[in-house]
Amino acid sequence: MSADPQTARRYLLRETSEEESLEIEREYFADQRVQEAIATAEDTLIEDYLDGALAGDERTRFERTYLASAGHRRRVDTIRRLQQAASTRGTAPSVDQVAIKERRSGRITSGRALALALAATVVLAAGVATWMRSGSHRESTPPVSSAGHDASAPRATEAAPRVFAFTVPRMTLRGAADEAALVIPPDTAIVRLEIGIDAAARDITRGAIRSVEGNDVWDGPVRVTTGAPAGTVASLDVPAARLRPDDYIITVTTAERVEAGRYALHVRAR
Amino acid sequence: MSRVGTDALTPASFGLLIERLDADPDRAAEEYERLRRSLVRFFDWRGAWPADECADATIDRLCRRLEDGTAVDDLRAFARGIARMLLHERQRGPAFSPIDEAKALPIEPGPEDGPAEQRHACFDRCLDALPADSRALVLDYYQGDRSDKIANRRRLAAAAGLSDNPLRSRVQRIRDRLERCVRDCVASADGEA
Repeated sequence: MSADPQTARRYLLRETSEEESLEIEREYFADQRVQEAIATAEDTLIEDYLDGALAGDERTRFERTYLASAGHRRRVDTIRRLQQAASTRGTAPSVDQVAIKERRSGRITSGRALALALAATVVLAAGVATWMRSGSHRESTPPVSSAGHDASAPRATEAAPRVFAFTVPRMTLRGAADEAALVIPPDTAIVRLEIGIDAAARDITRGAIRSVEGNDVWDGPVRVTTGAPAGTVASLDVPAARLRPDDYIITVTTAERVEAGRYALHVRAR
Repeated sequence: MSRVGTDALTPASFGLLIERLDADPDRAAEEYERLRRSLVRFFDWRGAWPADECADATIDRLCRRLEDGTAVDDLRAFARGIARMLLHERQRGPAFSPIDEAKALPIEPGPEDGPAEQRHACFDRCLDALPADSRALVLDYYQGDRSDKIANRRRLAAAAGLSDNPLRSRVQRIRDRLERCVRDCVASADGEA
C-alpha cells in the first residue's frame, strides 16, 4: 500500500477486499508511517464529508459504513463543532460573523440567525429583485445574471423588498442542523441563502430547495461571486414565504444539471 | 467491552509479552505502546467501539496465550489474528458485508451522547477548559474555507517548527482530549439528571 491516500480511503470506507485489508493492516502494524498516512486520509475524508465534497456514492458509503460506529459519529461531530467554533471564535473575518455591506442603492445586513438581535433595516441589493407571486405552489424567481443585468429590476418608485441574508453552514451531519437554524425576521420578503463553495465550482447556475419529505419548495438561479473575504459564494434569493419552519435540503447544480453540492437548512419558528 | 475473567492480565503474562517485544526494557515499553496503538487504530477503523477496550482485551488474550505456552513466531501477526477474531466475535458476522445489505443506520450521534443542547454546552465548556495554546492551535487548524485550509495548515506547521504530519497528530491528540471531556461531561450531566 505504501501510504497511498486513495487506498487508505477505500480501506476506511470498507471498499477493500479481505486480502487487501489484511495487507494494509500488516503494513500499518509494522510501519508507523503507514498508520499516520491512514489517519491523515481519515481526517481528509471527514472534512470532505463536512464540506459536502463527497460524491453521491462515496457520501452514501461514508454515512452507512464509517458513521455506523458511535465513536466515528462523535469524531465527525467534534470536527464539525471545531470548524464552527473556528469560524465564530477565530481571528480571521468570516462570512459567519456579522458584517455590513454597503451597496449602491441600499444595505444588506448579513449574519447568522443567532445574531438576529441586531437591527435589520430595509435593504435593496443593486441588480437583484424578486417578487412574490400569489397563488402558485412552486415558482422560479426571475433570472438574474451574474453580470448584473436584470430585466425585472424594480422601478425606483417601488418599495424595496426587505432582504435577509443567511450563511448556510457547511456542516452536513444531520442531527446538528438545529444549532445553525434560520429564523426569518418579520417583514422579510427575500431570504438570501449564501453558501461557501470551492472556487472550482463557479459553474454552478441553479439551485433547488426541497423539504426533507421530498416536497419541492423552490428552484431558481444561483449567483456566484468571487473575491469576497469568504472566498467563492453562491447566493440563492428565495421568497421568505416559501421557507416555513421545517428542514430542507438545498441542491446546487451546474448548467448541465450536474449536482455540485447539497446542504441542509433548518428553519425555525420565530 | 469488559475484560474477560479467564483472559485477565497477570504480572507474569505481561512480563512474557514485554520480554518477547524486546530484550531491552525501555525499547520493549516503546514497542508495547506501538503495538497497543496499532490495535486501537485497527478496532477504530473497523468500527469496533470502544477501540481502546478492544485493544486491551486483545493484549489480555495475547498474554494468556504466551503464558499457556502457545508457540508464537511473529508476535505482531499473532496479535493481529487475535484482534480479527475478537472483531468477528463482536460483530457476530463477517468483517465485510456488501454495502447494499448494510442497514440504513442513523448518522446522528446516538442517545448515549445526550441531547443536542447538552452536547453543545459540554463542547463549549470543554473547549474553554483546554490549555490556551492547545485551544488556539486547534481552532487555527480548522480555520478557513476548504481552499484556504492547506495553506493555513502549512503556515501553522512552519510557525510551530513542525512538518504537516506531526502537526496533524498534535491536533488529533487535542481533539481526542476534547472528545473524552465531552463524553465525560455528558455522562456526568446524565448522572445528575
